[in-house]
Amino acid sequence: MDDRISRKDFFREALNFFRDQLSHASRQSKSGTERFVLPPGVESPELYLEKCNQCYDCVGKCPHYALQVCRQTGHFAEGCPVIEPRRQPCYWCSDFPCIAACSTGALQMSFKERSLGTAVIDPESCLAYQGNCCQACVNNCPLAGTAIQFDRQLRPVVQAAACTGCGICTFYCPTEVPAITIELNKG
Amino acid sequence: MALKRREFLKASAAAAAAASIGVTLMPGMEKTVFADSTTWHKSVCRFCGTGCGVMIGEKNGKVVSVKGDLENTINKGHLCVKGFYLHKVVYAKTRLLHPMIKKNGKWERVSWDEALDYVAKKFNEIRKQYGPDALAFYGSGQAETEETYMANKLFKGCIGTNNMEGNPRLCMASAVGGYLTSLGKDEPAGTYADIEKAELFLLVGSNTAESHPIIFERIMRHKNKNPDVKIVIIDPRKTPTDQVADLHLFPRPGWDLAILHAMARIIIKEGYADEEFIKNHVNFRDNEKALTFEEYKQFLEKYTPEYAAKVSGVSPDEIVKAARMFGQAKTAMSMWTMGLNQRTRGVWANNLVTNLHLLTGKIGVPGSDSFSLTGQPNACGGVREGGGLCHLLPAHRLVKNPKHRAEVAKVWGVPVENIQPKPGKHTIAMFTALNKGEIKGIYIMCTNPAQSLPNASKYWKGLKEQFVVVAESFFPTATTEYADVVLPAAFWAEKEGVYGCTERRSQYMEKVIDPQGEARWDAWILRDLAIRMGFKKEFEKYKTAEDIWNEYISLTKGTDMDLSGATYRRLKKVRGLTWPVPSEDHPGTYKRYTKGDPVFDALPEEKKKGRRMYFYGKPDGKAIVWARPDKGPEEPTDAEYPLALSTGRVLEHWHTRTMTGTVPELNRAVPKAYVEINPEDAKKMGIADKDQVIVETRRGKLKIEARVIDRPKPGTIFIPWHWEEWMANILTIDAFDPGSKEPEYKVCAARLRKA
Repeated sequence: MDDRISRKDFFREALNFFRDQLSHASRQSKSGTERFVLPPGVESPELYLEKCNQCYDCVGKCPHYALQVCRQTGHFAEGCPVIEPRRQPCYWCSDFPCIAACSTGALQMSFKERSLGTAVIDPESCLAYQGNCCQACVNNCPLAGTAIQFDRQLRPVVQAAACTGCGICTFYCPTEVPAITIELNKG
Repeated sequence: MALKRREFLKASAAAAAAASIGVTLMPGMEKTVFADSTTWHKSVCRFCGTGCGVMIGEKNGKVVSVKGDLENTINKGHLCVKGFYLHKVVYAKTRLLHPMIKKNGKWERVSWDEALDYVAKKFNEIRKQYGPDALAFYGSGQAETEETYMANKLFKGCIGTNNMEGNPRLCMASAVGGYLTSLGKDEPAGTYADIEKAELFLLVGSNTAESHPIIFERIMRHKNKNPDVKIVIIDPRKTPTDQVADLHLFPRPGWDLAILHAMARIIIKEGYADEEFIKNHVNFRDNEKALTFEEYKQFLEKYTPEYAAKVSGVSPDEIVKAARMFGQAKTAMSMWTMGLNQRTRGVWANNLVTNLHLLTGKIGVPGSDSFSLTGQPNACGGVREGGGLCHLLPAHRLVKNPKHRAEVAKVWGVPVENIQPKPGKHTIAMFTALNKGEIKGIYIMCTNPAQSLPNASKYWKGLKEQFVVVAESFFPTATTEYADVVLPAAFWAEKEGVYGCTERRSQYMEKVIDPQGEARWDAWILRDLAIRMGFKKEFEKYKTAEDIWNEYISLTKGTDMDLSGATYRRLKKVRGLTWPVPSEDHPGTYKRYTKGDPVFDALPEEKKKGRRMYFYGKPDGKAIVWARPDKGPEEPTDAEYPLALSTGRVLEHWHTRTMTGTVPELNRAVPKAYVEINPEDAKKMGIADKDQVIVETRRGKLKIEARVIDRPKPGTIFIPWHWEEWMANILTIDAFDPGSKEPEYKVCAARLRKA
């Protein structure tokens, strides 16, 4: 049989194994940091952490039960109120009861228009990018047409400038690990 | 089995790599990670009527995945999100695994013998005491053609009742009526191949993007490649389909007939009509008598754009624009679904769309067709073609035609007197008779009427009181709640058979795995029941699915829907065939009533002279342009109930959610029902997004979450109907079209308040 395994092939496959494992591990850790977004009305993550006294008044005021205490060990917002879009996204109330409840200035009305982050699509796991017909994120986005819309191949595309980072798309995404997640704004 | 070199390499390299970092591969991990032992089987998607080809991935006797069939001409490998997760439905926790009989109000597991003997005994008692018409069958556009065929023979041919209906009555009957009255024969003249050749699409009463996503994708791809392609939508609601619309007319729900007449008037006035085609191919009629073209024009005089605008609430300019776009396009394809069919004037609405094509000659040529979209995977194949309605017999035959009865009785091997000449009770009449106790026993197969009937709660009484047998793959459903016996039916991939989709295409589905639990194929359940009821001679001859199919296609021979060439042998290889297929070497028919259609080709020359089309379902071969009045909905809005309620589908769910409700991913995408309210209306009523509201009609009320969104026009609201917990059909009206007997799900009057 001329199907002998060459040294080169052996090492290539061995390397591929490590590469796959690594990318798998990194994706898992990535989804860890993106699991949470901060509540509306935050000036910057640093100031939020500094000003939040962990009274959790805002948590009790959220009508959608979206705010929760971050219990992930080692997370930069550990102990502070956060939103986990996959569990319950922010519905962007017109009167922002969470901000109104904050007495320390961690959440401020003057920053209520500021986005929580930006939705990012992973083309590797998005059903639409894989050639199937799925419209969940676009159909559920309250700003469909401006924040997210279909391209000519019926794939969703995020318009970063208009995206509020509410995470409704993440919540509704019908893949096992959400193919659309919220990336926190830099700075 | 020889291990491929690459697989071996991967496995050994990985094992070495894993060993080097001290990781032991978990037992079985090699298999899941590296072995590629999945075998793929050709099948058809279980959901809508598009008929997408799927490949079922099977590994170690289990269905593990589904992917689009790249070779299938319909979807070319694409699937929607429902189809993508279809394999998960097979192993749903809600699968019904054993026959059960309700004894003293409690479900008790029984053997197949006991269950079938019990049903046979009860049915025979009812038949003996009250006559055959005290029994009924209610089937489904999701059952395979073979299954419906068996039920048809048992009920119409052996028991001797025409009380045999199916849920396509609730979705396609008006399209059938429309085609029969306009063109003479049921089902579209063209196929999906017209999509890529059309210059204009007229989408009426169809949310194509969500209800037929793969067809929508094809339209969208076509438009992307050809930016001059125009899309006109007539629909009271803004939907995701609007992404591609060039023009959208928003009529008040149920008031669109005048628009279609006004369009016809403009088309004739402005010279877009094809006079030559009209002369040779078209007759004119109103509800009483034949008309001349001149008289038809007279009739249309009433339908000025201004009049239509007043009736429908659309601006006259837009109506003129739509008519001109239709007239100017060289080819045009109109598509519609429930927005036209589920109406008290569904047949008329269908006629008026086809009118536009007949007046402009935009039919029978590539890229032009009046094309009805079907909602269920085998509504066309099993029920419309297979004759699964109370007035039909297999292969587009009618019970009232003595010749048809004789032909069918001969093949069935039953005395012709067994088949009654009078049509049985249509769906609404059937469930009304159940309420009244005129029907004492009903066999329900593969459908969920307790949730899907309009004004559903009205019909629960009959289901509760009479003897109800439900053959289902899932348990519980809204209907099994009222059942006396439930019979577990094999699900998709657990049985073989044929599905016929929207474009006249019959496709074969393979049996990939054995049924879950004790489930059996519906056709065999019916066969065994028939034998126990005393019809051994008639039913014992069926040993395989192919036996049933061969008998069925022998009945289609020589008809307009000849399937003689679509044998299992052939269907197993090809990606379906579009009838007529008169012989095994025939490739299938792209266009009916014209050259290339074997029925047309076989006509004598003198009939075809000077004509490019011959509508052979009509005595003189001429199609009919109908002058129908513009009637509004049965229950228009008024001061008491000021909102027009419409119901419909979402992309992620299907029908009563017995299937899609078992897939967590789909439930995540659309977890619950809601009522869409226009922001203007919401503001007036003081309702915010996600508030709980109460929607009320004259028939019932429903507490549901509000979704404030600019999809419905002010004055209209919309509820997706899939959920049993938020059952939209307790609100809908059960008034029906006098012609097609299809109920008006799409329009009724409602009011709404904060809960």
